Amino acid sequence: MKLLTHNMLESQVKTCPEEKRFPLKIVATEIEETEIEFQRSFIINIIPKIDWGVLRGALEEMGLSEKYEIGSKVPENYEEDETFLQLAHHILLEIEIITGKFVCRGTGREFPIENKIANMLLTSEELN
Amino acid sequence: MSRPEKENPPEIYYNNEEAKKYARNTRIIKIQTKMTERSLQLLNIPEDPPENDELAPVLEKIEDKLSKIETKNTSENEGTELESEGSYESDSPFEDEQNSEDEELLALEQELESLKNRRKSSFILDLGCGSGLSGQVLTQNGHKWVGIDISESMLDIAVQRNTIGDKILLDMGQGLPFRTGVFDGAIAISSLQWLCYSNKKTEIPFKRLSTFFSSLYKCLSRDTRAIFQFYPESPDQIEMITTAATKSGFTGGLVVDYPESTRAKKFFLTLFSSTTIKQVPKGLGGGENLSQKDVVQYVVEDKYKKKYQNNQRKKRNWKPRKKSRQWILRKKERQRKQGHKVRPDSKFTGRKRKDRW
Repeated sequence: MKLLTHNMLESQVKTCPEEKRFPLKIVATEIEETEIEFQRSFIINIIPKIDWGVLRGALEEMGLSEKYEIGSKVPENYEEDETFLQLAHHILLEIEIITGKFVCRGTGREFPIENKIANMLLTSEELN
Repeated sequence: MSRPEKENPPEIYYNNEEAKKYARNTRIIKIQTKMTERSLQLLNIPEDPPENDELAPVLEKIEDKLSKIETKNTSENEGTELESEGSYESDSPFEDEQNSEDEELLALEQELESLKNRRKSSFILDLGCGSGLSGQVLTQNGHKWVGIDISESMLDIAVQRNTIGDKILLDMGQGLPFRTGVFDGAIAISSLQWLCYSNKKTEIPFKRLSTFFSSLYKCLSRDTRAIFQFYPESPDQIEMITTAATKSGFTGGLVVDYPESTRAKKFFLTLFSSTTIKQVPKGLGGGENLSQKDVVQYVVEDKYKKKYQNNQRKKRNWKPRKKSRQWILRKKERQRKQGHKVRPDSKFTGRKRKDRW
């Protein structure tokens, strides 16, 4: 489970208040750093969709905020900033949560992550 | 042909054994790959033409390779008489070098082609990604993806095969847990038909389809598409699906490839998440005369949308008929939830009574 996807996920639990659905809290017990081919155009296009504050929060929850220092805002003219693009690529796509869990902030409901797969199946009670 | 979705729900059908078989079957791999490529085509992702400085190095390498092959050919011709006798197989190192040069040239030419035909690298949702066969095609075409599936066994295989997209264990019929406008497109290869059957007594397929389509509409950006390759069982089923889709805001239609062939015929439900009406693409193998059956367009114009939806709601009530067994089971479940004392369900629940008159 990469941080790019975490930035897009919200809780579907019915009893969770709207403002607490996003983002999910990360508890990571096993992390791996992989190597993915850098695609400039993809990174440039995806950055407007990323919630940058949430990304910073995610790094903090994973204990990586000292290793990867990112500002509170995306720099202006980020398309030309090669270092920034490379860093964004690494954080979004090359950090993999192998084991851990996502936690809904509104209800405390846990979604386990095992073998890189997040289990977000809900019971019928949680949906109705 | 048997329909697996009628036997068992997908999480039971695709157990460990079936999942392993699926991922190893070369025929399945070939078909799924082809259908994914066709779906990518139908997604109509904007083009991303290469800059000159991206083409130049590849063109240079091709020229180099061509000149190398030329010189090899001329020098080889001078020594042919010694080589042609005896050996039936080309085990001479000279010929091997020649073949590998040709192969490299072919690879370079393919690289040039893919650069010229390149599409914008997009973030795509793979619905029912299974063991990652479709996901790999997406990766090969330069896209990033997130895959969801209800079968843990299939997802485990996808991880084993080192597919790049993230995988989530999820039931589509419960809705998708993504924020608004996140994806540039969605594909679903051979998975939509599973949503049309529910084995749990209290679930209605139409409700699950509606929940699914509304959540999909939400998480797709404006002016993007969702392509569903599926195996429809009947026109009624197609209508149920398209009604649920249009109710959620989608427009679009059904593209049928090779409508005349029983084996090659494939259905692609093509949905647009846009407010302007778009033309549904033509199916393949339809020939010059495009008959009505090739392109079935389900377009609901804004003006009539509300009227259409109201009529549909009145006409087809997807709720179970009053007093039917389904209705009785749902009512008992409701009563249980309210805390009433309810008799347990059995095979006799709602049994047909002997007529009084």
